[in-house]
Amino acid sequence: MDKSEKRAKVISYIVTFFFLIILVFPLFYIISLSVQGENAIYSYPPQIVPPAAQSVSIVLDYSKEKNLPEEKLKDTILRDSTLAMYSTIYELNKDNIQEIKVYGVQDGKTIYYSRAHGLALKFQMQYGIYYQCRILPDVLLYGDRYLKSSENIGYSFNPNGLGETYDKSRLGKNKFNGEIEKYLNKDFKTTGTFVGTSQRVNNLLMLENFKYYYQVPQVIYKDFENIRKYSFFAFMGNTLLTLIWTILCQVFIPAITAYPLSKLLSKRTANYILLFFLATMMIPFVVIMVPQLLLMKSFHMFNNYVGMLFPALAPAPFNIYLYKGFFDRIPSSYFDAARIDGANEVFTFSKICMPMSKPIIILITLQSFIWGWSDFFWYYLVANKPNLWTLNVAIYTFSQMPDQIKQNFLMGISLATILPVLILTAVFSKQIKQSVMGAGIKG
Amino acid sequence: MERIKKRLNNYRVRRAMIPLLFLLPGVAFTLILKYYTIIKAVQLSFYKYNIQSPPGLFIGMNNFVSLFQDSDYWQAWRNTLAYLVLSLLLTFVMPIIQALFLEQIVKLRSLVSTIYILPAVIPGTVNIVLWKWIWNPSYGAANYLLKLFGGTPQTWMSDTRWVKFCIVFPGILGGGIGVLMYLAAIYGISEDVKEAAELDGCTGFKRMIYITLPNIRFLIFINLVMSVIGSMQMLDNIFQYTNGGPAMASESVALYIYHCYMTKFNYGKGSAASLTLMLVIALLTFFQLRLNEKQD
Repeated sequence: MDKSEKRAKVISYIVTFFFLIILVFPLFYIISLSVQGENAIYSYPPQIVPPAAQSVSIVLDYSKEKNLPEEKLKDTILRDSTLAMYSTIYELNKDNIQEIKVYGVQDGKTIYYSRAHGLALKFQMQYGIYYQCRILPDVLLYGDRYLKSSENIGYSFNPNGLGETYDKSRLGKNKFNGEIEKYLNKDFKTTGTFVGTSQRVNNLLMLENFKYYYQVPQVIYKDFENIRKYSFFAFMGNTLLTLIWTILCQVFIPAITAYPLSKLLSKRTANYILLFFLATMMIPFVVIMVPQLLLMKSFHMFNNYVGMLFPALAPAPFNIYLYKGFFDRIPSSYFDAARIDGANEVFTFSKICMPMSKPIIILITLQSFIWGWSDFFWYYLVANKPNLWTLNVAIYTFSQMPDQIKQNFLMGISLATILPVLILTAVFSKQIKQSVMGAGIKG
Repeated sequence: MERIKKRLNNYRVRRAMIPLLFLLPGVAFTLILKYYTIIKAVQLSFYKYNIQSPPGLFIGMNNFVSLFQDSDYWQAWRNTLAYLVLSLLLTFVMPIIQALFLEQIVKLRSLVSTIYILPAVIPGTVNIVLWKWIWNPSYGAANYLLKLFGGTPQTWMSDTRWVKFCIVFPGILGGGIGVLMYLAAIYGISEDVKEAAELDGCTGFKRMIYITLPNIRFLIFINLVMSVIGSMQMLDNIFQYTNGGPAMASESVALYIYHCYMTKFNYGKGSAASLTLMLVIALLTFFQLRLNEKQD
């Protein structure tokens, strides 16, 4: 190996490595954003790697309230618990707190325990009991709001003692302790006496985010049955339906169109007919977009699946061209032999021609998949009811309402839907590469 | 005799019918979805469209006249040309460069090429939502990186100078499949050519430029035609990124047409504009094909 060759090699490795980082970065960032808490995504500098998820336990003492009747005691603790949870999320918004536990103790035994994920509290603030509320003690405790909130989050109360315990030795030994003590004794004054807090890192909490992402579409679009039932999997279902349909149409219809062009008609006629199709390649989508929409509307194909699926029936000219080129290379003797044996054309097409065309079928499937997976505009135009949305339309619409929908949720549902495809791609990467590279050599 | 003749006729008719039956679905759907709609678009362009009683009032060439007097239309054309240049620089050239370097890689080649196909798994809209976040002036990673290397923070998508770049740049990542196609074409170059080049002392970067590139000329040409057609009709991603803003700085002709239709409800003007776009794309493609024929 001479010098110039060596230099080219070294530079190639460096450049390729650089490109690989750029290529992998978006995928990594999607995953990273989806597991971050809401406070983390709005922090500066941006958190490329998700910060450690903090879990905070707050212990309040009710030994002084021993004389209170049980009902009254429970009510008091629920108020305190609500105050402690929401104030912590609100006051410590710079820190990535993803879990808050509240312990109520009396004479050394735990009588109350409640635990909330950070997003569960945010969920109440964005869509639930505290929708559009400011985090102030009077607002938090207004009416029976704190009861509903506690009910939604979940708690356990038993004056005779509960199983849940906290680590006494770690109490107070963390950076949050002082600040929490300050606001629980002042702005968000609790009835129970503040004992202390403990803090722990639990990165599994990040995965729990997805539980709340699942609930968001169900709450926003509760009027639509399939979203209420399946949440964002409804969008995934629509995407799958359109995708499979597009692939089937684009594999099958161009094939039956190309078959007579290649094997049954004279070259001259075939070329004219091919031109009839290829001419439509020049037509930009935006030119036929509205006439097509008007056509759909006049046949009641607006806002339903028929309208979404119908345009996929038009064979892509390039696919016809690819099929024809491939069929032309299959020797005619195969077909003639079958015809002499009395086979009809449907048989020769389906039993001889198609099985021999596997490489081209795989290539067209792949191309249709990549195209359909990102297709957006037609579905956006023809279906404006949420239950018909494909994933792309749903994510676009969500991204247009930044007050309700946050980036971690957007990335979360995106990840949930691309993950299966990602795994499939990784598993079949060898076959996919072969097919793509085969096309490259021929093309 | 009569019966035999009839049978023969019948058989002939049937034989002639078979290709037609095969062609029927493709031809019918193309007629309905492509030819009918394009004729409809031509018709619309001569009318002042009325939704209540379509097609409305015939106004001849007035739609075209008012279109050519619209300064927004010409602004959209300037933007489209800027998109064309940017896409050619970023998304057309990049895969070729990537493939040229990737060919030199021997170790881990399989792993590296697998990573190249993975970005194709991210749907367009997800990519757009992510990149909007990256370009976000206050929380985004773009400004953070820029600051890290000593640059001044930008407002990116709200900046009329940067917005087109912000829209085109993420396209670099979608080129993974294209890279593999180029790579395959490079592998397909015959060994004789490579060996002859080596004997003549043509190695390293010299070989890339003088041997590899000319031998994959055909694929490069196809991709050139495709990316010219593609970037002339850019619509989806601009719509999702900025919807034409700020101050028309990112509005392409295709998006201008969409706005004529869907926000101004001026179907006639929209159709007129779309026909001019189609004409330009057809001319450009024709010109490219001719140029290629001449070179060969």
